[in-house]
Amino acid sequence: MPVAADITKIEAPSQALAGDQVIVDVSIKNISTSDKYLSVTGQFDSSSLPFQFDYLLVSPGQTVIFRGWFNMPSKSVKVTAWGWYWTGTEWVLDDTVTKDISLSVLTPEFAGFGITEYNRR
Amino acid sequence: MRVKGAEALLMSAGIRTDVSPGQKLTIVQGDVVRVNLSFQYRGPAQSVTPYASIGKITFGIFDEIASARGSNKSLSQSDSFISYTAYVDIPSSNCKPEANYDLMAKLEQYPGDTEVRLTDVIDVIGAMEFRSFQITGYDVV
Repeated sequence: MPVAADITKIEAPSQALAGDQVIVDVSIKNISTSDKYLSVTGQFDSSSLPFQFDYLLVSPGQTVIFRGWFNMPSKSVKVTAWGWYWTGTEWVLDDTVTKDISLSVLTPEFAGFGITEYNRR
Repeated sequence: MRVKGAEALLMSAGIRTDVSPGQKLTIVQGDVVRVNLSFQYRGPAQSVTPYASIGKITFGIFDEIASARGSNKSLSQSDSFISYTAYVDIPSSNCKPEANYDLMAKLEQYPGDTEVRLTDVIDVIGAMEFRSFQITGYDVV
């Protein structure tokens, strides 16, 4: 159970097309009784997932959102986010969440194919 | 607008030279028939080839007499439908003068999803010919 850096939510699409930019929003709450520096790090499969902020100073009971993004590869991925808090001397890993994002495959589909006109050239 | 001789003859005879699906187009053997197409597509990016032919449907089989491919069409990746147009120019020199030819069009890579047919929509008349042109007499008037 987390003591300070509680990841309350991870928001990301459940599926994406290869090459799409995938945005991952991680909500993290300071559940301690004092101000804490909180941080979120992450990865998708074994690749690093960068976030908008390195860390934020968060008041007790306050929730902040760390936004990360990556380009969807040609396979389904598992996103992992870790929540950290700063003790004054070191970063402590406090919480972990994961989310699966499946690769969306487009199937060719045609509609309304027709001859609109024909004429002599 | 300068009108070609054959077109002028067809127009003077009340014959349309550009028509919509279902209407009859009359051409002179050797004319090029432009078939305009439209469709919508969603899916991965790819290139497709429009294809059209003039022929006769016999027992459900389209017997091609003259056919052609259009320029390759690049389709963008999209998860919602995007509209496209294309055209195919079919030379009709293989078509004998005859009425009620049928027309078929499709995307070559996806015949099952796209093939359309129009029946009895093209009449082909023979190429213009002059014979025995000569001076038959000359007088003072």
